[in-house]
Amino acid sequence: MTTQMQRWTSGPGRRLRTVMASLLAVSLVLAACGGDAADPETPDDPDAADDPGAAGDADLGDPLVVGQVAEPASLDPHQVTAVNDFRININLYDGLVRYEDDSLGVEPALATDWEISDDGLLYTFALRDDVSFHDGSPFDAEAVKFNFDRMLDEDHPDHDTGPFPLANQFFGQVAEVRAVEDHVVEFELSQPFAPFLSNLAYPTGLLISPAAVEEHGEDVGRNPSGTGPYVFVEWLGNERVTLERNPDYWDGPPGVSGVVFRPITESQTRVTELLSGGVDLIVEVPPDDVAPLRDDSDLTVQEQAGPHVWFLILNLAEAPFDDVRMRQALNYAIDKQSLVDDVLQGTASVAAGPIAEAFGWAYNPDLEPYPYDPERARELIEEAGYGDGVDVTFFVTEGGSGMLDPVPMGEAIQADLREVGIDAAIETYEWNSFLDEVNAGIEGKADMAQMAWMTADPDTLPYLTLRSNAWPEDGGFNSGYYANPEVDALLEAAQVETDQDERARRYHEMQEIVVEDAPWVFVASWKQNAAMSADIQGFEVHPSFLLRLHDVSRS
Amino acid sequence: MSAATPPTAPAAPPASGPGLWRRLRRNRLAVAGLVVLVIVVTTALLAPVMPLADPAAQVRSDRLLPIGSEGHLLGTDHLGRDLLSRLIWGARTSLSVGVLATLIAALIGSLIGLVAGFAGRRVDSVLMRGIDVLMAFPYLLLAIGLVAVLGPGLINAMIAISVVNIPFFARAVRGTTISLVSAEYVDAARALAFSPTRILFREVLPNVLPVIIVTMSTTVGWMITETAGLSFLGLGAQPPTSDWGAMLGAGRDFITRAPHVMIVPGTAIFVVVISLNFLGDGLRDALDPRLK
Repeated sequence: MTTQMQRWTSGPGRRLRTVMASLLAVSLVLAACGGDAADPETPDDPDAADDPGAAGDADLGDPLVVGQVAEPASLDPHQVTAVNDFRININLYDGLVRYEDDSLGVEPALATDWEISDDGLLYTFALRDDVSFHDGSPFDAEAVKFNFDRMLDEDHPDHDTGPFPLANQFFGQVAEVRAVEDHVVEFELSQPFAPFLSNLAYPTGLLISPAAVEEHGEDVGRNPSGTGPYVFVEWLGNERVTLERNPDYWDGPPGVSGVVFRPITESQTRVTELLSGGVDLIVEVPPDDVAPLRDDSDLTVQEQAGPHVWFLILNLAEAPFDDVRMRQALNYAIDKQSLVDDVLQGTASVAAGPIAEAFGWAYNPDLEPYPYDPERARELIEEAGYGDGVDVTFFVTEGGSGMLDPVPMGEAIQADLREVGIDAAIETYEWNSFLDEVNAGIEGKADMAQMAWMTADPDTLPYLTLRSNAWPEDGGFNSGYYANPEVDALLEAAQVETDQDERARRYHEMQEIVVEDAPWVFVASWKQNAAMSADIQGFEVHPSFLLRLHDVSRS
Repeated sequence: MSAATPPTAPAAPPASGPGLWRRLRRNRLAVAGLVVLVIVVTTALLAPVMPLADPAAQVRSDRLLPIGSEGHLLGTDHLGRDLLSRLIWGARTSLSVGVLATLIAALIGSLIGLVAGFAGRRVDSVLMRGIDVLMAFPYLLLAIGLVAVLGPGLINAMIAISVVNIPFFARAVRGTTISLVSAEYVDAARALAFSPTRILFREVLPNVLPVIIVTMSTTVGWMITETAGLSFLGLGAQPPTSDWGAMLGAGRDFITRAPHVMIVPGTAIFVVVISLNFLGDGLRDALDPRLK
C-alpha cells in the first residue's frame, strides 16, 4: 500500500489531467518496483572519515536502514506527490518553516522569524544567514525566490525542469516573491490564504539548491542538494537510497552516521526484514502484524492517529442515496467499531465526520459518530420506501493511498449492509483505474465508493470534496455530487479567514451540517505506525505521515 | 447418391466404452485422480444440502481461528467466515468456471481448427494467422488485458480464460484434421459427393474427437489454475463469492500469522489440478491408438 499523496490542484480540467498523469506516473514507478533489494552492504564512507566535523562518526555505528513501501519517484521536492518520497526528502531538505515536533503547528526552520501584514497579503521572512546547501552554494533570499519562481512562473528559465503538480494547489495564491535583502524575503499573495504558512511546512515547500537545479536540470531529482540533516550519497534503482550525516547541520548534526532507504513493496517482506535485522525501521506495518511486533521485546512499535479519513462516497445524484434517510441509514448500518477493532485490528479509530480528529482546532469535539444501530437503519430504509430491499453497486479498490485493507473492509461493509436489506454488489479495481473511475464522478456507475485522504491541513479535503463547485466536471473531487449552499459558504469563508478561532467556528458548523446530510459514510481514521529495533532512540512518528530522522540515534 | 449408405469410418474409430475404461483402469494414477475428482465434484454438488455455515456470514470477532476450532473444522478467515464452507462453495465456482471455460475454448478452438484444416489454403492461412496473433501474447497477460477491457468479474474472467486457450485447441485439431483430410474414407465420402459440411462433421469430426477430449482433459487443470490466478489478482470472482483463487489471494496477507487461510485453498487447488492432470494423462494414453 503506497500512501499516495492525495492533494490535488483544483484548477481547470487540463491542470487536473496533468496531476492525474503525474500521479499515474508516480504510481507506475511504484508499481514497477517489485522485488526486494538485496541486503545493502554497509556503505563504508570515505568522505566522512576525511571530514573534520565527523570526528565522532566511529561511535555512531552503522547507518540507519529504513524499509520504505516503494521506490521513490524522484527526490526533487517540487516534483513529487507521494508520501513515500516525502519521507526521504524531509531528511534532505529544509523549508522556511517546519512542523512542530508533535503537531501540525509550524515553527521556524530556515526562516527565523516572519511577519504577516494585517490584510494577510504580505509575508516577510527573515532567513538564517549561517546555512549553505550541501553543494556549498549559500542559502539566501535569492535561493528562496528561485525555488518558488521555478515552480510558479512559467517564464522562469528552469520552469521546464518540472512538472510541479502540487505547486498551484499549495502556492497558487503567491503573486510575487521578492528578495528584499540578502536574508529577507517577501511573499505577496493575490488573496488572503489561511493555509499558506502550513503549506510552506509541507514537503512541497522544501528548498532545493538553485546551483544543483542549474547544473542537473530535470535530473536534479536524482542529484538532490538541500540544507537538511542528511546529505545525498547515492541512489541505486530498486535497491537503496543512501544518505550520510550532515556534520554542519544548522540544527545540530544527527546522531547516526547516515540513513539507507530500501524499497520493500511487500508488506510481509518488510516485517520479515525487520525481524531478521535486515532493516532497523519500517513504516506501514500491516494491521495483523502490529500486535505480535509490539509483543517482541527487541522491537518498539509506535502508533499515532494521523490526519486521515476513510469514508464511503455516496452517489447523491441517483436513487437510492438521493434520499438523506438512506444515507443516514447506511451510517447506522455499518458497524464501524467492529471494522476498526477486528478488520483493522485497532490500527484505526472510528471517524465522526469529514475532518480528522488529529487536526485539533478544526475538529468539532461535540460530534458523535453515528452509532451502530441496524434497527434504526431498517426504520429509515422503511420510511424511505426501500423496505423490500435494494440493490446497489459498490466500488472497492485493491489497495493504495491509506486505503487500509480495502477489500476486507469492503466485504465487511457488504455483510453489514446485507443485514439491513441492502444488497451491495462489489466491483474491485486496481488503484489507478479506481481513481480514474471515482474521481470522474460515480453517477451512472456506482452508488457508493471507498475513498481515503491524508492532508496536512484541515482545509484541502472539505474544500475539494464537499463544495458544490468541486463537482468532477469543475475539476474537483466531489465525486458524489453533494451540494449544500451553507456548506459552500462556510468553506469559502474558512479558507480566506486568517483568525484561527473564526476558522474553527466555521469548520465546526460545517461538520455538523455535513454529518447530518451524510453525503458520505464516515468510517475510520488511521493510526499510522512504525516499528523499529529497540535500540533506536529519538524517533517519533509525526502526524504529517513524514519520517523525520534528525534526532535518531542508537543506544 | 441417394442410395448410398453413409460409409462408417473404417480407420481408427474413436475409442470408447468398455475398452477405454479397461485401458484407463490399468493406470493407477489416473484412477486415483478420477476418484479424488468424483469425491470433490460430489461434495461440491451436495453443498446446498450439507450442514454448512453460510459462506458469506461473518463473525468478525472470531477471525483467523486455526484449523480444528470448534464449529469451524478448517478454521476461519480474516473476516471470521467458515473456511470449510467457503472451500466447498468455492469448489462450485472454481470448478464450474474452469470446466465451462474449457468447453467454450474447445468448441470455438476446435471449430476453427477443423475448418482451417479441412478448407486449407487461404482460409487456413487467415484463420491460423489469427491464432498466431493470439499465441504471440504472453498467456496470462492477454487474460489480464481482456479482463481490463471487459471489467472484473467471474464471467469475464471465464471469457478471458476461454479466449487465451482457443489457440491450443485450434492448433491440435487443425493438425489432426489435415492428416485425416487425405484419408481413404474421406476420399470415399468426396467421391460420393457429400457436402463438405457433412464430410467435416460426420466423417472428420468423430475421428478428431479423441484429440479434443485429450486436449480438454489436459487443459482443464490449467484453466482452473488460471481462473484462480485471475481471482488471486482480484480480477475474477467478486466478493462475497467464494472462489479458491480469491481465498488464496486474501490469505496472502496473513501468511505469517495464520498460514492456514492460504494453505486450505492452496491445497485444494493443488489436489484438484494434479488429479485432473493424472486423469488427463491416463485418458491420453487410453485414447491413443498407437498405445493400444
